[in-house]
This record gives sequence, C-alpha cells and structure tokens, in this order.
Amino acid sequence: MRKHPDTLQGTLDLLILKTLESAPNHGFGITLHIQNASDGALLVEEGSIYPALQRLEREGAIKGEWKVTENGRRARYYRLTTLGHKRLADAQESWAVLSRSVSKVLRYV
Amino acid sequence: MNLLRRLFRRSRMNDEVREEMESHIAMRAELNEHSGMSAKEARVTARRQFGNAVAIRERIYERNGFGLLTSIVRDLQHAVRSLMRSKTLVAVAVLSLIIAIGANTAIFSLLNAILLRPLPIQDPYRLVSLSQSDATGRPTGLNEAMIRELGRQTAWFSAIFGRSGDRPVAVEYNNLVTAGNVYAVSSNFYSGLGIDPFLGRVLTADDDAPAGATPSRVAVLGYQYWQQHFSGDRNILGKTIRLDHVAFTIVGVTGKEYSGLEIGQTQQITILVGSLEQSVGEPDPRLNPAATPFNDVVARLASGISLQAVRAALSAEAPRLLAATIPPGSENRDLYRQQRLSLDSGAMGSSGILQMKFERPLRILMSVVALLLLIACVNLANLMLARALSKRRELGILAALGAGRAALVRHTLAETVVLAILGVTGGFALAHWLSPVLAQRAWVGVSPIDLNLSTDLRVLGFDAALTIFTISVVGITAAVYASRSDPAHALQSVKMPDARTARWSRMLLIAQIALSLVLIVMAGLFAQSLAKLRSRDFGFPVHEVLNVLVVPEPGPITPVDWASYSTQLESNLTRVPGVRTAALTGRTLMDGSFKVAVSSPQASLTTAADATIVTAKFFRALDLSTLEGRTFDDRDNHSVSNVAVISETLAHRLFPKGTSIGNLINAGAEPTHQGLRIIGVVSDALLHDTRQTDRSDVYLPASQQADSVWSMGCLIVRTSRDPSSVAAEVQKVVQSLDRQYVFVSQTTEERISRLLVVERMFALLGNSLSGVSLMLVAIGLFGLTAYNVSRRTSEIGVRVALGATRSTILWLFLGQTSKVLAVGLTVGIFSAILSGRFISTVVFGISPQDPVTIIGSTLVLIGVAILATYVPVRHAALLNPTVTLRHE
Repeated sequence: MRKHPDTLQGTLDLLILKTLESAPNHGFGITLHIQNASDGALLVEEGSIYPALQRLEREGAIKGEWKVTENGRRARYYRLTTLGHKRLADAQESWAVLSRSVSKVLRYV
Repeated sequence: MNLLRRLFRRSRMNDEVREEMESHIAMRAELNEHSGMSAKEARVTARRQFGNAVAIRERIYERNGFGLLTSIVRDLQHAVRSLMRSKTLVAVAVLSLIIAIGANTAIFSLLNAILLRPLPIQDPYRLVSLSQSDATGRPTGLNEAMIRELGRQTAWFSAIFGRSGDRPVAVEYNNLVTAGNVYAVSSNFYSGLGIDPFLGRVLTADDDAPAGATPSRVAVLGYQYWQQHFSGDRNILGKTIRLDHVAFTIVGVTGKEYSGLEIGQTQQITILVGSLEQSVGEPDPRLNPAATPFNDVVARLASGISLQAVRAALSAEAPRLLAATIPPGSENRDLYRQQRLSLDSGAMGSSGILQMKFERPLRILMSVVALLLLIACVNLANLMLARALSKRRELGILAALGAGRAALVRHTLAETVVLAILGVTGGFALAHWLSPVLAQRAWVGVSPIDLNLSTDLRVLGFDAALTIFTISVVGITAAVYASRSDPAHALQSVKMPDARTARWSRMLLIAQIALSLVLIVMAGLFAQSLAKLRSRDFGFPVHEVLNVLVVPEPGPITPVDWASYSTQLESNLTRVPGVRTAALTGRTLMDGSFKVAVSSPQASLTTAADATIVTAKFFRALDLSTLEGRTFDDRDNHSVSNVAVISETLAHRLFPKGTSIGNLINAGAEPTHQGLRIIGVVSDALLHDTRQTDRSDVYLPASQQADSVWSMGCLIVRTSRDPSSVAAEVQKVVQSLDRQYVFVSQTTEERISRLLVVERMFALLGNSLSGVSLMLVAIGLFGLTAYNVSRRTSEIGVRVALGATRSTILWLFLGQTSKVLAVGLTVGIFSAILSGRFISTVVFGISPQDPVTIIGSTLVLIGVAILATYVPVRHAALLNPTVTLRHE
C-alpha cells in the first residue's frame, strides 16, 4: 500500500511501453517479457503491472481489447497508440538523462 | 449523469479487471505446470507470484476515482446484511426511532401550519397589515378617510384593501335556510392578495359602484364551504342565494389552499362592502368618513421599498394623517390625534386566535417531544455499543487484516445510517398520519379548522436535520468506540468489556433514566391539570345546560318589547319535554372571561368582574342560590333606578363588613352601568373560563339593560336529561316566534372542551410519549442486565451449586442496576424540578414541582426497572448449574 515514487512509476511505464513497441501483448505476456529480459530481476510481484496498465490506458498511451490467445483463453491485448509512441520517446529520453545524472553523482569524488 | 454512467461502467470494469487478472494467473499456472509442478501446486504458486490480487484491485479502483461512491454503497449493503442478523435488536431500535421522529415531525407540522407557513397568496412577504389604536393600545380601526389617505401614498403601497369582521346571516338556497358567515371586502381585495379563483371568477373593481350607489350583488364562496353546503356542485355559478333575504348571485369559488386572512379560518361567503347594507336598512359605510367597516386593513408594499422604510415613513407622517382624518362631529379631537398607526408583516395573516393561543404551547410541546427523541437516540447508542461489543472479534480481525481506522469507522457508521434512514422514513410516514389525527382530536368542539398540514420544504428540512442529529449523536459515538478496538484484545475469547465501554454504557443508561423521569413527571402534571380543569366545582350543573346562540331574523328592525318577548319565549321553551327552565342572556357560558373595572362609593377599593345581562329566570336555570336580598323580578323596570345582583366573592371583596344590599356600584364604562343599586347577592359560579380563579360577577337585568336587538344573543336552557337531545325542539320553538333564529347550539361540556384544546393536546401527547419512554428504559435496563448475566453465567452456576437461592442472585444483580438507577433518578429529579419553570403556563391547579407527582413517577420507574432486571436474572438462575458452568 505504499505509494510508488514517481521515478519508479515512470520506470514501469517505460518498460511497459517499450515492450509494446514491437508488438501488442497481454498483461501476462508483458510480465514474462520484462522478467526474461531482465533475467528475473524486475517484476517480482506480477500483479503490480495492472494498475500501471489501467492508468496508461486511461491516459490514452495504450489501447486494450479483448482477444483470444492461441490456447483458446480470453485475454486483454494492449497496443501502443500514437500518443503512446510519443510517451515512449519522451520516457526514454528522461531515463537517459536520469541515468547520466546519477552516474555523474556517483563518480564525483 | 457522467457519474452514473461511470458507476455502471464500473461494475462492468470490475468484472473485466478481475477476469484479466484471473487469466494472467491461469497462464502463469500453466507455465508452472510445464516447469514440472503439480496442477495444484502450480495454481498456488501462481497466485503467490501474482501478489495480493485484492489489494491491487483496490489500488486500481482508488485510482479510477469513483472509489468513494461505490464503497459507500458497498458499506451500506454490508451494513444491511449484518443488521439482518440481529433482527430483534434492529426492530426495537428502529421502532423507537420511528415513534420519536414521527412525534417530533407531527408536532412540527402543526407548528409549521399555524406559525411558520405564510398565507397561500402571491408574494406574502410583501403584504403588511395596518392597525390603529388609542393611547391605551385598544384597537380602534382605520376609518374610511384614513384608508383613502393611505391609498394616496403610492410611494408606500401599491394597493390597500380591507375585510370586515364576520357577520352571521341567514343563507337561503334551494329553499333551505342555514346560518352562514359573510365577509365584506373592498373591490381590490382579491387582486391585491393575488388570489385566483378555483371556479368562475373573483370580485373585481368592475363589480363596484361609487359610494352611495349599490355595488353588484355578487358573492364568492370558499372552497370548504362550497363542498360542505353546496355539495361541491359545479353548476353553482350564476345561481342565486339569499343573504338575510337579499338576493346575491354566486360568481365564483376560491381554491382549496386559500382559506382566508386567518390561518385555519374559512372565508365562507365574500361580498363587496356596500352591497348588503342598504338593503337591510343600514347606511353605506363608504359614505361616512368616520365609519370603520374593516376589521383587517391590509396593503401591499410598493415595489422596491422595504417594510422598515414604510414603517418609519408612517410614524413620521402619522400626525399629519391623523389630523386630516379626524371624524367630523367627534367630541375629543385631541384624543383622536393621539392615536397610533402601526404596520406589521402580513405574511402570516391577521394574528388570529389560533396563533395567539397556540404559539407558546406548541413551542413547549416541541421541547417535550424533543426529549423523547433524545431518549430514543440514547437508547440506540447503547444498543449500537452493545452490538459493537459483540462484534469486537469481527472488527478485530478486520483490523488485523489491515483495515484502516477510517474503514472501521465507516463500517459502524454505515449501520447507523441505515437505521437512521429507516427511522426517519418510518417516522415521516407516521407523522403524515399522526398530525391530522392530533389536529382533529385536539380540536373537538371548536368550529372545524382547515389547517394546511401538507409537507413542505420546512418539514422536510426539519426531518433532514433530525436524521443528521441522530446519526451524529449515535453513530459517531459507536464508530469512535469501534475504531479504537485493539485487535489483540479483541481476538481473545474473554468476553469482558474494557472498563471504558462499560462506563459509557452505564452513562448512557443514566441519561436515559433521567430524561424519562422528566418526561413522565411532565405527563403526570399534564394529565392532572386536565383532570382538575374538567372536574372543577363549577357552581352550576354543567351537564344539564344547553347554550344556544340566537341571531335576529333578517329584515327591517322593529322595536321590540323585551319583557313580553322574553317571557313568551322562555315559557314556550319550558313546555318542551326535557327542558326545565330557559333564560335569555347577553353572552353565552364559557366564552372566556372579559372583566370590567368595578368600583363603589361605599367601597375602599376597585376591583374587576365579569358583567352579564340576564333575565330573571337565569338564576333558577343555573341553580344559583340567593344569599342576600333577592334576584330580578317585575319590580325591576324602566321606572326605577338601575339595579344589579353580584356574586358572593365580589360582595366580600367590595364590602367585607356588613351587607352589600343598597350599595351602589359602577361596572365598566357603559353609561347605563353606572350607579347600579345592589339588590341581591348570589352564590359563586364558574361561568366564563375553566381556568378562572376569580368568581366575581355582576348581573344586570334585561328588563332594564336590553336596548338593542343584538344585546340578548344567548339562551341558557336547563334540561333534565342530555342537553343535546332537546336542541332540535328548542330550535323550532325559537323560530316559531319569528324574531330570532338559532345560529348554533352547544352543550356546556362541549364549550368547556373547546376551551381546553391546549390542555387536551398536552395530556394526550404526554401520556403516549411517557409510555414510549418507559418502554425504552425497560428495554435498556433489560439489555444491560441480560448482558451482565450472560457475562457472569458461569459465576451464577457456581453460586447456585454452592446453594444460593434465586432471590440471592436477583439481589446480586439488582445491586448493580440500582447504582445506575439511583444516579439516573437523582439527575432526573433535579432536571424535573428545574424544567418545571418552563411548563408552568400550561399547568393548572398543581405546582410544576409537585412532590407527589415526582415521587409517583420515580416509583413507576423503579418498578419498571425491577421488572426489567428480574426477567433475565430469573432465566439465568433457573438454569441447571452444570449447563452454566460449561458456558464459556
């Protein structure tokens, strides 16, 4: 029940948007992708992606619709909108700035 | 609307989100299974990996913004479900709330109808009523000249109009003659008030004619009058009725809501001033600048000006106005110039009898009834506390699971809100039925009043306030308690309440007992007042007297020989079977006491007494015994000086030493009532008002004092059986003499009841409310004891096993409640004594701090307490010890 600090929330948004850049996916798929890509380090609690997904959809960055998976299961697939592409670009830029700044501070003697 | 749409969309979204998450978990479980776990293990791990689905959903809902509204709905649903589990408790709580709120709303409705709601006319708050009075404050009325002068002040008033007092006439329609009341108004009366007709039209300036000429003889009927006497016949327009033999055409009927310038009084028949007078031999008042034809002069304020401004302007201009309107031929011009003009808001109509009589009593009644509400709320609070106690475990678990304090408070508050809503809805319905019933029962005997008891914003607002009050008092107490529950403590199986709860509960009970005692004492006082007023020694046989109001037959007025007319009428009446004696008097019995100043050259002081003109048979009719001298007979005529008979009390007061016979007295200001020679003293009688304490009366003989056809307006008929049974016969006899006809006849008891309206209402309500409060106290004490008993059941088992008898156990528990009772009663007694001051005006013949009543009420409460305590204890003491010992 802690409020996520903005950076963390922003970071999760970035990960989700990036995952969806290549292809639409459902919540579980996005989770798996992030987990695999980070070698299991990120997304320990799988469900925590859903508030972010809801919010991104509400803000218009992604759009979801119900489809059927290959296994015949109903799932909600999300894809990036035009706004989402722009958000992704902005978020990547911010992340780059952030990581550069943090590195600078750490290197400071 | 958007919110509603979101609400509906929300439940769909609920399901969608849930489905999405389940789908995720299922897919994870599938993956887990492929990695080698068993199906069951796979699912369990998948859930664990997912995290707290419920908490995540909560976060989503919160973020989506409509969390609050739906969680309120959910809380309420939950509250209803949990309340359903303890049906008896809920039933009792809701019932007591319904009664308390119903009573409060009913009384407030009455208050609203009589004192608060303005007249149902256009823009009532721009209406003002004008009055003129002499230096002593006695109203003198505005004369024609003054009305014309004020009418010229267009800066102050956009219209000024008037209405006469009611005038009894013989109404003849379809060959049936009944008695009716006619009001004469000015031609702009209806347009000034902004009244639209219900049927036909109202009186307008077109019907009018200049002074001296007769205006059109058209009449407008009041709605209720039209319904009752003309059967609501829609073809009434254009038909003719005769008022005192003069033909009038009915041109309209006013609406149901408009009943007149006085709240509660119907304007039966309305005609234009000047349309009737000349036909019955009276002068046209509009021709006489000194005439005061109107009882009520009302004006509408000109637009843009305030009442205060006009009032100030009026006092500034008053000297000039008075100087310009001095009645010609007036003896004392200076006296007229000293009169005062005043202006008051006319929104509530002319201050009728209803308002003056009931204002204070209704306010007192409201406070009394509010007491009951307080008791019901306290009761409810105690019940909620008990409930919270029993649900402590549940609440503790909720707290342990992470429910925030706010959630716990909301939880308990939701239950209170449900109960409060149920209580107010039921109470509202109860009041809807109750207030007309109260009005009817209390008003028995008076001319039927038409009160508009419909609900309006004020009543609704009042109920809303009550709801909020109830919720605040009850809910917050219980909720705050609930939120403090320590989970660790709650989860223990020990059912002992913490010291704070028990103390709260006891304090609430003490408050309840104290308030109930005050209520019971008040009820006792009201009931005794009423009984005393009814059972007073009236000094005459109250149950055997019929009062008949008689009115002169319409038509030209011829001089009357009173001696022969009254003798003939009285002897004709005596021949009616059932009638013992009949006497004509100037005023009826029980019409209120109107004292005049009485002085005597032979007395050292001035006092006051009621003066009545009576015929000789009066004293025999009422069985008044002659104590000194004689009563009236043939010797008292116009050839001798004027005489009088006085009552015993007056005689002793004026002439404490020696006889009163032969002394002279002056009774009031009338010239013929000066220098009256006392010829007799009769026994005291209570003739005018049940609340009277002074029985000073002066009786004047009709043979000397009856001067106009209006002065002998009442018949006192003494009967040997039920007075109402002779009414029809009496009416026939009166009308057979062709000089007077009967306007209304009532038994003396009916008239007394009419005077006791307020007392009856108080007694009625006092009884019912104290009954309810006793019931609530009994329930409260029962609950407390039952709780204590259940707590110590095992202890009881041990005691019984060790040889305690039932009465020992009873005393044990009585000891506990007796402390609460003692404190409660003490506080209650003090409060009752203090509050006695406020009800002293409505209590009669008994002190508001009457010790007997207080002691009696205390004993009643103690009795109820013992009973309420006994029942649960008896039950426990009878149980088999082995059963009780196993009880956890």
